[in-house]
Amino acid sequence: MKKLLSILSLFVLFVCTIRAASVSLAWDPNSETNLAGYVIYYGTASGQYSNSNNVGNVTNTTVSGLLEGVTYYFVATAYDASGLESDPSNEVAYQVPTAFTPINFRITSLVTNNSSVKINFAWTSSTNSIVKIYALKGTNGLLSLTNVNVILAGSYTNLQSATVSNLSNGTWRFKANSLSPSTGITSLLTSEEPTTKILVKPSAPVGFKFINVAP
Amino acid sequence: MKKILSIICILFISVAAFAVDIPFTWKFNPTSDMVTSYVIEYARPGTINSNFIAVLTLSGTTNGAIVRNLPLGTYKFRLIAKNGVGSSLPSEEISVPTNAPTIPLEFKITP
Repeated sequence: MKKLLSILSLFVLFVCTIRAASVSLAWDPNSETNLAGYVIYYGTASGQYSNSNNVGNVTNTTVSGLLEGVTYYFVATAYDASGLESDPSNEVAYQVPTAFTPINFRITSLVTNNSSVKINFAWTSSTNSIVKIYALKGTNGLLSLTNVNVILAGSYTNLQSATVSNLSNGTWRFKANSLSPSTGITSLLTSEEPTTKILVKPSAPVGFKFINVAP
Repeated sequence: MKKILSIICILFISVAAFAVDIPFTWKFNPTSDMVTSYVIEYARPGTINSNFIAVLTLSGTTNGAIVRNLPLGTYKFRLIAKNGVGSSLPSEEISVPTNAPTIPLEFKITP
């Protein structure tokens, strides 16, 4: 057990690549012939690890599903073929980078014609970010990434404004976020939530027929 | 000749006295269209270029109506939906015959 611990004290955090809020971890191999594998423990408070991954007998792994802006703490343990597990290694900490959330996201104009409405947006975002605009119809409910009934198809690279159209009649709320292609990190949604009412002319009635003719 | 003319006049009045009620139905527009009213339009028999005029305006919560007291003839009808922005395109036109007499043929002055 002590031997495993001493070797795991060499546990090192390597941030090899960061894609979509994940982190790569690596450590030196143990020398025991009956070594069976390693377990990575991690959590958001030092010394408290609410998650674990049994990664098998490897010397590197990637932990994904991490939240932007949150600091995570990691330790590793080794276990042998008989199921004995070492004490944890040294703890390493990693703060997931944040992406730049667009600011001053707003509707600049609304252009209505007979059958559609074009909404012009503007915002400020970092260079080279890919901005996406999300829409939720109605005035109820939190507009979050898990609660949008329309995600506008467009994503706008290197633009500071965009136009969307073909939304049905009703009240619509909008938010935006940005993706940094260099880090793969998606920002939080904007705090701004511009809202507008859309009304276009109705569609042509269908099913129009006479029932009978009674002189 | 006088007798014939008087018979024709009697026939004309008699035919004009007949009128029909024509019931219509249609499907509601999608709720998102926010329709406030429906308008039934018709083109009178013999109207050149199907010049439609409104004959009945109904609430947007209605999907049926009766056009009453139409003189006999063959009419074309269509339906239009309206909301706070304006009018829809018209529905498909339908022709409704009302058992009118056929057009007199070989109408001419005889010696």
